[in-house]
Amino acid sequence: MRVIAIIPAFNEAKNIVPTAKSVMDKNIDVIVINDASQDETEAECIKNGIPFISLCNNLGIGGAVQCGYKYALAHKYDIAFQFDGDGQHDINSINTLVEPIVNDEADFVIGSRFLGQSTFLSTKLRRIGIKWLSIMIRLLSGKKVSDPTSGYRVANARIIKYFAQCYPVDFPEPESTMWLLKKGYRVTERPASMFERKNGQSSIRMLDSVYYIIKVSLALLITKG
Amino acid sequence: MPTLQAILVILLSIAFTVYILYTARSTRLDMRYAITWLIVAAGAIFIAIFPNLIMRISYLLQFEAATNMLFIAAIVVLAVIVFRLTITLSKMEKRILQLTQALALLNDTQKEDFTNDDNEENAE
Repeated sequence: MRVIAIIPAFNEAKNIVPTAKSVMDKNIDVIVINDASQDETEAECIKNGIPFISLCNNLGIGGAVQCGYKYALAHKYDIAFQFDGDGQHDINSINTLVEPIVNDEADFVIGSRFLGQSTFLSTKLRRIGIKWLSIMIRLLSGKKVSDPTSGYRVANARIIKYFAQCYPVDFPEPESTMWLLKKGYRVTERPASMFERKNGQSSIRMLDSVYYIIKVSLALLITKG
Repeated sequence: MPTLQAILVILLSIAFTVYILYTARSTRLDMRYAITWLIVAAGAIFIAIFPNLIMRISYLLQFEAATNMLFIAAIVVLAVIVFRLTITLSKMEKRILQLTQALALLNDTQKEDFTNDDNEENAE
């Protein structure tokens, strides 16, 4: 099975090389989606021989990741996984995450930092937000997803095709998970270890958190079956 | 005998209509959107010409003053126009997103074609 890591990157010049290299060292294909970065992200990719494509407009995380799924579809990959460009995700968890798909037990696997012994669990306030979204998904779909905001996710060929066609624009993780559940795809979770951000700033700042929760909650509520 | 205000509204609306048509002709404004504004201008002229009708309707709907009804009507009309505008905006954002992705993927396939050509040349 051909596997590719989709690594969205916006102004991640400091993190992108070690992050992409950590994946490539495992003999896994990589595609960095450079989301119109204004720093040296593209130059770093060229210098270090990291495969990348550059967007001419900044599309945000959703548009960038979807472009990765389109790339995976065009190049006929069997499995694609999202891997943050800022070094938050641990590539050593990938075998556990891919396993349910290889065994055809799931279409989509979410790497959860709450299932295993992850060292980094995020701030208290953010955990409350995650819990809230988790409860909402439970109530609306009947399925348990402990870490709906996780950006460390593995998709099989069917999901690659689905996400290439439609994917949320901003704060895409909980919403897209809900879509898959409502469409009847098999979604499961596996433990994944994550780290604190090494450099730079998360795409979600404190001020945006309230907006984030309201926007995603509404999106979950109106998801069609 | 029309009031001074009515004449003012009619003149302004006519000027607005001319401006809309002028903009639409120079293709800065799409006819689909021009029509919305032409209807607004026509409505203003209609109200200025038939104030008694407006009075009658506002009385039937139990407004305290006809102006109250006009204000509410104007707000509703503008809200509908702005709402439709945000729908159009969302559609355009989606198109830009798809174009940006398509361009990035296209650029990438061209890049690959170049490397393949290089390889072939090297093989020869």
